[in-house]
Amino acid sequence: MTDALFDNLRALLKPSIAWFTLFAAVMLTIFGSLAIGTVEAGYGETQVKMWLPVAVVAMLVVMIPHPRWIGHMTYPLLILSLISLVYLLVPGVPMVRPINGARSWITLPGMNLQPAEFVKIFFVLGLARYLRYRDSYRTFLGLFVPFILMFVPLLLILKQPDLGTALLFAPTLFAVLVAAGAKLRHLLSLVALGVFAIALVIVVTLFAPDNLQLLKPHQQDRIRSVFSLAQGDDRTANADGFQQATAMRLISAGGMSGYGKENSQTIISYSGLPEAHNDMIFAVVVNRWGISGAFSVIALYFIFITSALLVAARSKDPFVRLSCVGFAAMIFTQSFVNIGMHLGLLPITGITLPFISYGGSSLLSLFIITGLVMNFAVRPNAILARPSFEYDNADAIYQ
Amino acid sequence: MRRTLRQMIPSMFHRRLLLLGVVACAVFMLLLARTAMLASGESKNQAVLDCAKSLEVTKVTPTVRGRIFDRNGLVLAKDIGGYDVAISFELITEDWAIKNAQFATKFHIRYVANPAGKYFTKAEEFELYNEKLAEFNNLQSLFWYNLTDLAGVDNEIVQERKQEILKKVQRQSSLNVYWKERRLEELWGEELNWREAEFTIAEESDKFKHIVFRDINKDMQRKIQELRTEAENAWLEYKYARSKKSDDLIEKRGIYEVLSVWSGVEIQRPRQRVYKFEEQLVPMDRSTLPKPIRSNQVQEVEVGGVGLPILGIMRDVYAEDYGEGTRRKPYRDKDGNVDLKGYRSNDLIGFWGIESTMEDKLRGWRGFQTKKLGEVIETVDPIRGEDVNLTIDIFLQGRIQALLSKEYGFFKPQLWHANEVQNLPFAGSVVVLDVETSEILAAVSAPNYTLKQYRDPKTRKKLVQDQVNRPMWFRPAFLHYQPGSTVKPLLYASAVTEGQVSTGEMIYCGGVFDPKTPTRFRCWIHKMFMSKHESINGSKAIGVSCNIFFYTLGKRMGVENLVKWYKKFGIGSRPNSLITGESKGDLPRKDQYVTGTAINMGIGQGPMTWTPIQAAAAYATLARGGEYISPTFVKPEDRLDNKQVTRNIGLNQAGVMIALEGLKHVTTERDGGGRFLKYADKSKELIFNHPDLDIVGKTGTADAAAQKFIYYDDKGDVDSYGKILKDGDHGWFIALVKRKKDKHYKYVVLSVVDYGGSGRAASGPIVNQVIHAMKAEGYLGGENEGDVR
Repeated sequence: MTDALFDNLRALLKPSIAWFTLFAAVMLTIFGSLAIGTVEAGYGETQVKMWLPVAVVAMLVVMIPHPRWIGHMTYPLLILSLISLVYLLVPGVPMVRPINGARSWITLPGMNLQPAEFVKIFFVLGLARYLRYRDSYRTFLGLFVPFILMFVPLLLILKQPDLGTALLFAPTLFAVLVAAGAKLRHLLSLVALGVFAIALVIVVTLFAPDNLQLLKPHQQDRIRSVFSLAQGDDRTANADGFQQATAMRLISAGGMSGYGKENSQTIISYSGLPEAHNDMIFAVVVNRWGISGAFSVIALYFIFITSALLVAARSKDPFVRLSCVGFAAMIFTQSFVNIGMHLGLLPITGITLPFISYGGSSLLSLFIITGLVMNFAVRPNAILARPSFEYDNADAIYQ
Repeated sequence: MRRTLRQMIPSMFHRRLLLLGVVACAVFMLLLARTAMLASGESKNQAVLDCAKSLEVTKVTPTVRGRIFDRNGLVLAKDIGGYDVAISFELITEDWAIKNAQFATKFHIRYVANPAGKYFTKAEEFELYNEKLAEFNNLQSLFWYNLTDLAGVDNEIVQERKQEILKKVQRQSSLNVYWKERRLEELWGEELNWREAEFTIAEESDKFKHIVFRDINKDMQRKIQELRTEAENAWLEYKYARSKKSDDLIEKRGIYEVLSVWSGVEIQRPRQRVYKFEEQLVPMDRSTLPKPIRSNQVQEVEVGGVGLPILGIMRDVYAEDYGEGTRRKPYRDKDGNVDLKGYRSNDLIGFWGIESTMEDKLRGWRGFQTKKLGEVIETVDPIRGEDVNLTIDIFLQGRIQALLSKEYGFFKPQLWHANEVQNLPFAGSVVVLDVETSEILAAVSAPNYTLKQYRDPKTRKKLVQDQVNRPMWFRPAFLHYQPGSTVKPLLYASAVTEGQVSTGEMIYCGGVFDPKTPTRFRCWIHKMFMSKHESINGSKAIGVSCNIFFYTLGKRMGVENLVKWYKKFGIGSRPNSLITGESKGDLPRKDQYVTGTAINMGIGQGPMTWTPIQAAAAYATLARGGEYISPTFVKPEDRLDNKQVTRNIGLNQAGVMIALEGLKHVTTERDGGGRFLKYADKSKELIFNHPDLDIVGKTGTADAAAQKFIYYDDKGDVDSYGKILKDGDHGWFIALVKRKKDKHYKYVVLSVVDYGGSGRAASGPIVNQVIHAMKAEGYLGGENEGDVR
């Protein structure tokens, strides 16, 4: 038993593609701590000295169990995490303190834990677990169950409300379904439906009278400001679109090589950019390091995502394959939405930039993901109980 | 293509992975491209400029409002430095206590109860909140008590001021909402509703501190500064204790909670407007007064509110003063452009009088200083407002006001007054106008009000509601009376010019105008003595004020001609003397153009009225031989584009000469209507005792509608009339004065007493004393001539 464990651990240290994943994760975290240090002295250090070790320990822990065991624990953990989301919404329960009107955190001694961060992980694992041996979702109606699997946590998170996190679920589901071989025309028709719904919301926001509005006033303003800023109309820049306009200005001013630490510190503090260490950290990165900073960050995300996809490609375990795709899709969506809102392509939604934004729970969950990817990378072979989701993998080994 | 791909990558899963990888790559490329687009070229240059701009902090420096001088160069109104106390909106409302009670409840739960293992249910939390709310309400009440006590101001005044601020914020907010809506409407081309309003109102009111106490003393200022510093220190200590989670955190929080109320207070240092000669102590010689009140003493009369209706005062600016559609601009408009002369909350603006009409000239430009990272990069000095020179003589104004005071004697019933006015409280006005320039040297309304009375809400309410004395009316410009007989010389000169009467023509006065209707259109001599003037020429007709002569002229002229000529003398249009509240006076409507109207207008009755200032200007026109110059309170060179109107109305000079002779007859001949003051015991004395002057003039006793009590509706409009407060005739006396050696008349001196009865008795002695006052102030060869002027 002990020998087996040591064998396992030794295997973990073998070079694998997942080392690129780890490299990207650590580099992004260091980048993040420097960026955070630009705007909130002390926070950057906390991120590296306090949260990074905790996250690395968590990463090492999740590297130990075999993917099979992880698969066994997936459903109970998913249910447990969903219960924690329900708990957050029960009025008057202890250890839940609304912050800025959102019931998203459980107060523990020394830290605030954000259960949604962990639900994201278990959602991906749960989805992979559900899809691994099936092909039912290749019919249109077969998509029903995966969608239910998405809507339960999605609605609970929307209720907190935490629109940013909730936004990640649908793209992740789509990516996993694409990888699992769902019919593209089914998915595209659903995407078309979604796009139509979003377009409808935008049209209603822009043109409908007040009594027919669907979104809350502050959400309407954000959508309007994206359109007005994109049209070069800076009249909302002093009011509703302030956050976005300021971020765009700071990014533009960064130029090729940025302002450097001290100048950037002054400029950002005078600009009054809200949430600079958190949601709006990409503006800080580009302002300090310029386009080269942006390129580095985006390149690191690309490394993270491609290496995770390569791990999926090398693995023969359908659960591992789909989990890795899910994690890659989640990081991709989160970084795209965050950077997109900085560049004026998407409205402000309150979503963090993975690894770079300040936040303990977030870093913890991201390193758990990294640990899982590393774990999966060194255990590419699997003994299957049934044929996997992939109809043409003739070389599979069955139990 | 698809087949090749399948052959190359047989696994569907791997093909799909490739697809996802390509999508991710494409999206990242898009993000990079967009970043590069933003961070290069024109948008980069603009952003660099904007960022540099955002490092700048601009502080506005206040300006000084222009001064107001009287005709002799005395400063009547000027700005002086002072301290104001501005208080946050949430302290003015109850919001401060509510907000702090919420914070304190949270603090208590987190730092006191939870560490002790006590967790609160919702109900317990609510109970705790109520306890805290009571504590903070007490703190807030105590704060207002202390502040009111420090300022030494009546609580009611403070309450009233709070109400004013609430009203102001409401106006301001609704206007801001309106602007915001307009802006969004422009953007989206849609009509929006009030949902946005709620946010904006909360923001506006939270941000601003509003001035509650003006011009506080040094002690209060120092005390408040001390308390503010203590509050600031308490906050820092509490913050430090919280970050270090130190043991004395709860104690520090307690200290901060008690002191925090003072962080909502701010000492501002704007400038105060002072009106220097508003109160005067005037030594009044009683030796030239009519017999019954004459003495050798010099009486010192205290007067207040001197020139106040002319100068005006300052008030808080309201949002609608500089809203869309008005002439004035906000300090920062909806597009963010700054106008240094523009208005913003807590600014003052002229309320009435010169302060209001000359606002644009008096108001200066703010300055500003821009610092970039602490270093001064741009300084624009404020430009002080321009000064305004008035035509009034503030000491003459004070003297006249003193002689119209009740204690001096003219504004209470005396032996020379007619019986029917014995029980009436007197009111009236005096105007002194320079003939050559139409500059108004003095315009006094009595009874009046003082600045102190106006600023105290309680006395102000009384002033506004006083329907008997109407102290808030500035009679010389606002009240318009029928001219009565004072119009006769003007009509004579006009009729001669029109050829309706020749200079030598005699008209027969038989006591009644038309023997067929003997009770209609009678001469006063017939009414009083059943007598008649018989054949009479123009100058004598004016001298004895024969009604029949002027009924005849009125009839001959016809309404149309009369209206034409009276208009030429300035009746029916605002004189534009540059004070607020001027009346136009009345002339008949088209449907009143009948012979009866013309006959009545011949003696200044019927549907025609003028204000005392219009009357003075019309007499000056006659004295100048037909040159009309509109009257003014502001020196012609300071009137900017708003020049005085001058026109020659083309009077026949022979007619003018005879009219002036008629005026001389009034004051110099035994049968003149304005020569003697008569007493009940048949004794009489001369009205004018100035052997060194030529004083001519005309009396007028004008019909007047009774002054009734007015009931107002909720909107402030007249609802109905109640009992009669005053009844009778208004008494006019308009005189032209010059020194014997002068060729032309120099001043018009006019007095009208509301419901004072005979113009000779009510106004004659007042005009005489005004001339004495003028001499005392150095006019007309008085002792002080050349002293100040």
